Amino acid sequence: MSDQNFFNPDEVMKEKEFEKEILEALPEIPPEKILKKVIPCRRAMNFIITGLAFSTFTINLYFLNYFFSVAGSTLLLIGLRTLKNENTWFKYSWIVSIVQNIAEIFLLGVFSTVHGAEFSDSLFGRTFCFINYYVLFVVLLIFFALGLKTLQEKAGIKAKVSSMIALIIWYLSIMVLGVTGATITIIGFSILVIVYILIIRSLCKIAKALYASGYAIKTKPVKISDKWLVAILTAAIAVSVSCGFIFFRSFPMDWTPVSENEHSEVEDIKAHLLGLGFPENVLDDLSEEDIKACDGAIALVSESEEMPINRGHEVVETKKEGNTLYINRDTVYDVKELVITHVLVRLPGDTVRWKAFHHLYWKVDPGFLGTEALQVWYPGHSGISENAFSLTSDFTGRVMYDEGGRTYAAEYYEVSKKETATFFGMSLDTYLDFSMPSDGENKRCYVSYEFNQLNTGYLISPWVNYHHQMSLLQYPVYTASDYCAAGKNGYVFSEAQSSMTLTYDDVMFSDAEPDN
Amino acid sequence: MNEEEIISLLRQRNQEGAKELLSSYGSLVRYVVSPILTDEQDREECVSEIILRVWERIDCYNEEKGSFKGWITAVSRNAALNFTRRNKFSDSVEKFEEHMPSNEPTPEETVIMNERRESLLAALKQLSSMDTELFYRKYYYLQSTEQIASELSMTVRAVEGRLYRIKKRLRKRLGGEENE
Repeated sequence: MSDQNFFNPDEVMKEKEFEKEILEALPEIPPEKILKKVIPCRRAMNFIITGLAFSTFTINLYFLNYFFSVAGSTLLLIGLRTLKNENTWFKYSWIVSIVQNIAEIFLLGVFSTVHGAEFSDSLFGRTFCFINYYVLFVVLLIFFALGLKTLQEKAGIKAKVSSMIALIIWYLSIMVLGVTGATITIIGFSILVIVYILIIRSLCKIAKALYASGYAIKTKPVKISDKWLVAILTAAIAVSVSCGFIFFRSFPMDWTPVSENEHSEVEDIKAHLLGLGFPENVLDDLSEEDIKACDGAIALVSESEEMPINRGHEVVETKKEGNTLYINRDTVYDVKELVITHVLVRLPGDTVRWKAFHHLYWKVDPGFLGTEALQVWYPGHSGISENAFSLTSDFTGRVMYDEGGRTYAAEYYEVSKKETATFFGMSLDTYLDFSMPSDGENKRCYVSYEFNQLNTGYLISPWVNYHHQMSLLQYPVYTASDYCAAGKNGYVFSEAQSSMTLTYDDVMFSDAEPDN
Repeated sequence: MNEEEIISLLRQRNQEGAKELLSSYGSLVRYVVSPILTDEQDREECVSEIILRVWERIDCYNEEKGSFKGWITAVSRNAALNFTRRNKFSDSVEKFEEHMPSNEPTPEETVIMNERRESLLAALKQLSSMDTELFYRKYYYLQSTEQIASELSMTVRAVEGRLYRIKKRLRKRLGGEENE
């Protein structure tokens, strides 16, 4: 091109002269791709159809459900923004789309907090999600269908809204399936997918007819470009999710200083329990009520073990014996951060009453990132021992740490029963949720409960499973107990499982026969 | 009625063809004419002229050279430009008036123009798809910056800035790399 310099390259070349040369050199007919692109409303309609496709169809795989939902509502917002000046119905659907985007950003933030599951289980949360995902979307579709009809009439083409009506009915069917929790067969699912594809195809045909008409939609210059709008929405999502991760990643615990004279009224009972062999460090952490509940204790037994809550490292040992090479792989834990102590106290009375304590003490701080949970399998909680034991009290206990020479304690954030997915099926397990502060030392907690033994032929085996958060990289955010209850296995949480197992006969200190 | 049927009717000199032409392509014609003719009455007058011109010159349309839509776009644009040339109304088009190509170029001018066109098309190929669209909107469709901005959901400043950069790049490319 340099040897054929038809355009004056001089820097002094005037703007008008250059424009003149450009105008003269323009082709008679613009390229086909330009013809297609310049057609008014094509861009907006493309955004809307793609947005509808993303919003109505989702796949729960690799975060695609979130991506589809966000991409769908963003594309709808962009497309409807262009069409909003064309007629009132498009304007209404654009307003609904704004509300949906705000709700979407809010929901994405909520699910990055530890209260996400709590929110979706609450009446408000369920109503909110129902309105956002179903009601508002159907309203948007209705407004859009009406807007499209008006646009077709103005463009002088035959008004066709049957595909929009079909899409609304299709979405209502999905809504009914979602709300009722009904399951469909693979044939039913295939029909839904085929109908969906046909609807989108039909919408594309309508859009094509609009492009062909060349109807110029009414538009107004925007103050924020599409790119910036997408950037702002992305930033809002990032801020919303980050706020959830940063400010709501742990439970709000009600920490209060523990009085030094807390046990002044139960010193006698403490002395008696110490005499029976109650571990002193555990006893010092008990609340006054729990010590009082042990008044008149007949006997007790305690067990303690150190447990790792890190992932350890793998050690491979090879040994050759003759022609055989033995390879032994083992996980070695250099640090065992946790000390778990179980205490079983035989309470006085005609019936065989027990009070169990599970005490956890972190001798090495493992780093508390978010939520922790204790999962208690008290004797008789399920299975064959159900008829041998009966739980007779609520779960009591507290979480504690020391800082600046003072001890702080808080009640568990929540004590709840959750359907838990296990290898053997579903089980209703008890969870105690809590969070630990990042500062402080001597972090510890305990849980206690009372139960009666109805049959002495069974093993007494109280268990405690401790679930510790190892990573913040999870979305939606699960609490330790929800993660366990959902039967998830991954890198986010680790588990330490501990129990004591003994028979009634092992505890020779019993003074009463159990009721059979 | 589809495109082929309309063309066929027009070639048969069937008046139904003109009716269908206006019904199916009236919006497109108005869209092309609107940025060039700002007066509503002029616009409608011009649209009628365009329909008549298509009716009269339908035999000049060659499918191999481009789509019917493209041909109608070109006819509409030229008709609107001629309309302004005749009436000298529109201020916005007056700017371009002095740059309008002569109706009857000499053979030498035609050769130079063809070579310029090739150079320009080659330079446009180097632009991004978005920049090419902006270029055609501005220089072919003669759309105002405001119209481009609103149809592409961009700010007026962003369109101006981008057009400035496009022009700068084209100047560099058309002037030869050694001049950069």
